Amino acid sequence: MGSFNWLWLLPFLPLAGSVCAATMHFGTLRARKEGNTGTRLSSIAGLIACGVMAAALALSLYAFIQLAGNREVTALESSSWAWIDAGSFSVELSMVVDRLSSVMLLVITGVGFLIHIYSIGYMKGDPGYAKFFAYLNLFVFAMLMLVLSSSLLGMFVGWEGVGLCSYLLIGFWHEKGWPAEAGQKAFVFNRVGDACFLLGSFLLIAIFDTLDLSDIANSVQANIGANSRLMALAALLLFGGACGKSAQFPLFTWLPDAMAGPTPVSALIHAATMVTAGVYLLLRLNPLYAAAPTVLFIIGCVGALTALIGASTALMQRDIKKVLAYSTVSQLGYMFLGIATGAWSAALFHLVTHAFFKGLLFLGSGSVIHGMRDEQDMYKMGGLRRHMPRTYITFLAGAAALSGIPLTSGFFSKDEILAHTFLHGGLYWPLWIVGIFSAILTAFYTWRMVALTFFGDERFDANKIRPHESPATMTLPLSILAVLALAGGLLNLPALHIPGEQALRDWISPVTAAGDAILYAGAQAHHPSLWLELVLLALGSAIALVFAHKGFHGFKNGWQHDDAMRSKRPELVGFLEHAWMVDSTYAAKIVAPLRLASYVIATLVDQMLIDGMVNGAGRLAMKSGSKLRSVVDGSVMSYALWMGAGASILTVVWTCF
Amino acid sequence: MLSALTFLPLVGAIVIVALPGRSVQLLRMVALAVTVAVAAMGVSLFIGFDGTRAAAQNVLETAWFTLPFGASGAREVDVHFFLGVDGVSILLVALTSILMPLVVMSSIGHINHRVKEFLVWLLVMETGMLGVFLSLDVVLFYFFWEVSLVPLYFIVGIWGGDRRLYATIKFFLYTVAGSLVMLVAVIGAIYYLGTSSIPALVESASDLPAETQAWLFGAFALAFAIKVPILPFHTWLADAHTEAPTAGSVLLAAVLLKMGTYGLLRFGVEMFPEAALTYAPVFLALGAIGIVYGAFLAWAQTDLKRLIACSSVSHLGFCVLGLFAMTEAGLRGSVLQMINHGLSTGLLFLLVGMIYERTHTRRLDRFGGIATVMPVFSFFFVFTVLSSAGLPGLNGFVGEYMILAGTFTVSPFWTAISVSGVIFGAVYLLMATRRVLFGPLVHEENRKLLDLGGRELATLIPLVALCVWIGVAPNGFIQKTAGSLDRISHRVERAQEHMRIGRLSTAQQTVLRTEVER
Repeated sequence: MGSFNWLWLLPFLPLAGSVCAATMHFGTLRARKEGNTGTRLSSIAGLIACGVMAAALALSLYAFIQLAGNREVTALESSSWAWIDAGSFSVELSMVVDRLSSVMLLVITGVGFLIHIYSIGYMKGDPGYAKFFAYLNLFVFAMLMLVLSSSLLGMFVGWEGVGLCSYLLIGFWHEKGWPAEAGQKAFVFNRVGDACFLLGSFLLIAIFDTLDLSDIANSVQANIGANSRLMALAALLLFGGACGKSAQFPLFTWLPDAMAGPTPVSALIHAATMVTAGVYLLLRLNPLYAAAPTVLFIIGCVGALTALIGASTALMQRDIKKVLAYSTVSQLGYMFLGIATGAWSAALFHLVTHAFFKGLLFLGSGSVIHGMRDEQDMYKMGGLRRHMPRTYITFLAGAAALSGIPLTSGFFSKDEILAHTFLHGGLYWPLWIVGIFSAILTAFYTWRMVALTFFGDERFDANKIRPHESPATMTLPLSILAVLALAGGLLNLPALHIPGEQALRDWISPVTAAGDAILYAGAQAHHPSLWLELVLLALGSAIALVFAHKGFHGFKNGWQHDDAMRSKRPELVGFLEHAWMVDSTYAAKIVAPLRLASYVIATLVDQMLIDGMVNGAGRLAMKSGSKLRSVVDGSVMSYALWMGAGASILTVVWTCF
Repeated sequence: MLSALTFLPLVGAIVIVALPGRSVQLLRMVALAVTVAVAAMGVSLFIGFDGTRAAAQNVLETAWFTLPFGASGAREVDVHFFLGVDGVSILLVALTSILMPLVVMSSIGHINHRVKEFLVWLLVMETGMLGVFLSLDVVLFYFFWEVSLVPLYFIVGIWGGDRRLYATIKFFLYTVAGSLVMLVAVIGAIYYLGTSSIPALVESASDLPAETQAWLFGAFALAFAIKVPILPFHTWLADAHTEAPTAGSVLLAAVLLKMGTYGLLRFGVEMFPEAALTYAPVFLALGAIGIVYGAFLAWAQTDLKRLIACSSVSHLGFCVLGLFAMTEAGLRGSVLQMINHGLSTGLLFLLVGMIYERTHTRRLDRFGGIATVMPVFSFFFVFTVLSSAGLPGLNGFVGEYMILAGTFTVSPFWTAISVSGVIFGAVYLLMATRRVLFGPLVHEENRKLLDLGGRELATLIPLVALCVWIGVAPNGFIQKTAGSLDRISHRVERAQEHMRIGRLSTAQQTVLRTEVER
């Protein structure tokens, strides 16, 4: 312990890369001012950023090997940095890689590396090319801080840091106007969650006297009883933070807007990594949640509701990225549902597979958008499989995994969450039904998207747009992710009473042991009987296949079905298209009253009431001082002079005594 | 050392008076040289300062004059010229000395008439401000307090904006009212306690009857509350800030407001902890409401500079909150936050000044898309906004977090209200950022704006570096304050104990006392 100082390199290499790229960016700007293009500087920035990511990936692999090679070692820890000494509490920061964070590390640096490579192709020719890589590397820095910090407050550095990068990258093309607003919205929504996070952290200090994550996790057991209520409140508040970051109801509406950013950003930040930070937080503090069953149930309800809202909204979207965005909201809901049932490893499993297949789908959609000259409306696509074969094939792999086609990664991971919900029984029954229903919708909208994009007639003007396959820098990451999306299930195949182990569950068991111990308090965890497990798997397969088929066939010839729905049930469609009207409710019920309050405060209260009294008092003083005014000329300078003179006279008088 | 630090600017002012007014360059060079020298002294004072000690260091004390009154009427009180620096003042002294050369540099951009007078007032003000923080005698403190204010009347009144007269009169009336109240408190304290030395006052103030402590505390608190400003005494601030030239706004925000919070700590919490404990709920409420109120006020503004001025009301709410939480973390956070607010709001005012010099407008709707034409400016603007909004890793977060965590144990309710300020802070700051920097470049006249030049970068970079430094390694700064602040929190604990005993019956009291004696 304490000697793995090279772990500091993990976050700080990308930070250094970011600084380099930023320097290149300003260098490029200067070169452009002098009449050069500055493209060479820019491309160096891209290479540096990718190189740094490769190094981070190598370090992550090395860390993983160290952990895997010696099962006795449960965590690697660097020396610590005394960050804040507030007297009554202090914050020490070190970088820790344990079983849980090693998985996150590999996802972040692995998928991150692929997306960096992809971005070289995608962002080519953009005037902000170097800036883009500076932001991207900065994001990886923040994300690694989030995952590696030993302290909750260090995690918060990453937590807000990724929010900042998200803000900057959503608003990357701010000249268009709306991306800047979308970025602002994302930041503010995240801040709502962060405020909860902060309050939760104060409570944790009050209960545990520390913010060290492993200390907190280890001392939950001892505090059950005396501090149960406070711990539950802290858990709830931190979940509030997770709702902001991971786009859960009611704070999810920023994520669809975040699609204003470049597509690699949507893949990296708004699908694979940042939005899963909330899940990671809850996993990290699993004993705290295990000790608060009511909070777990609330999380389950929020997760299931979000899964349903997301999936049902994705049904009617025209924008390919919006489909994926609402799908992400929905899939994150599943992860929280998994946590709510105490199926920690299932949540992590789905987090990992989702990073693969959703990252893939976003990158695939980016490839389509790239090939279609920035067209995102699926109604104006169609038949693209002929023009973009590699994108098409890999997109199919992603779609299969998302919709849970048997034996793909998403099939296993989603099924495990639903199985645990089913087994939990009781109040979780309705949640299971919601989960199953959302799975039906998922299969449907996924294949609707595939059909609208790649099949049917070409609904674009072939004279203006000539769809083309993307360069190798983009299709290579797609292929790798496609393999992972298909085969990712191997990470954690269902136990099925076959002797042996469930890889991922066993891998993170040292981290979740404390939570399990509280959750089951000596009793055995529910284990499904073989036949039940098989029935559930079969049910999942049937749902996926049937509704994927329906979605595909309904839309392989165009969007007539949508029109039929629109004319048949206009209110329902409107409700779904606008994500259950959550956003407009905010605008009307929260933002508008607050805005009004701010104007009332600024004009009525501040200017008229308070300032009115002040000015009145001032006039009164002026009036009573009107005789003096003839002595001095009424100007400010004279007042000031008199003031100074008065003070001096006073001093002199005092001195004389 | 301390007298040199305090009076070197005054000497510089006299030198500038003697120089011919026409050679503006020379005048500026002299002013810059003087302030740089003072900054060097301030930094070396900071480096040499031992944060573990509670008592004042580098003390300088000589007899000054004698006041003819005391509690018995016949006693005389010796007033001393008494300077010293302790953990409460060291950061503010360092901040003031570091800011001044940057302010002088920034004034090159916007002060082009009556330069000589301007520089004189600036230097006089520096002496006043440093004197306020270094005085260990309450009469001397009052003297420097007045010295620091007079120059600002002139700076706003002569070099200010269109409504400068109104702003100056308002500022003047407020400060006169505050000063008078403070004068009463100063005389009262000397009268009752028979000394004007601040350390001696601190030691003996707890012997006074509770009612006397309460009204002395009240008078001091009122005087400083106007200066901070605490709600509802804040309306002078927006006008004075908005109308002042950049240099004035920066100093007003970064240093002069801190004289208020410094006074609250020194003459409120430290000197009268029992009274402060009694009235702490009022101040916690005012601090927390101020945070939210200030944020709402800022959100409604259409003038960028006024928006930042209103944000000060919000940010200083945090300082007040931390002071009156009266916990270790709260006090440390509050003192650090005084510096943080000085840095980030100082930077914001500098940046607004820079864009104003180019566009001659501060109205939000006259900007938009500035990021396209001024990328370097935009970088600094976004950085500063983030520091001001309390992004972890930068300075503002550390102070805010300590304050909020320190307040939480005392009042979870007001902490929760204040935490909502974290959200609203992001709302108005990002709104302003978006409207200034982002979006399409709507106003054609903005297309030709020049990005920041070398002089401007030189003014910004030291402050930006400090923001990062405090954000990443705040302990070097916190530890400088720890000795003195810990002594204050011990005094607070003792006062709490004392008040607890005071509420018990006499029988219980005797039992406790004998226990304590044993």
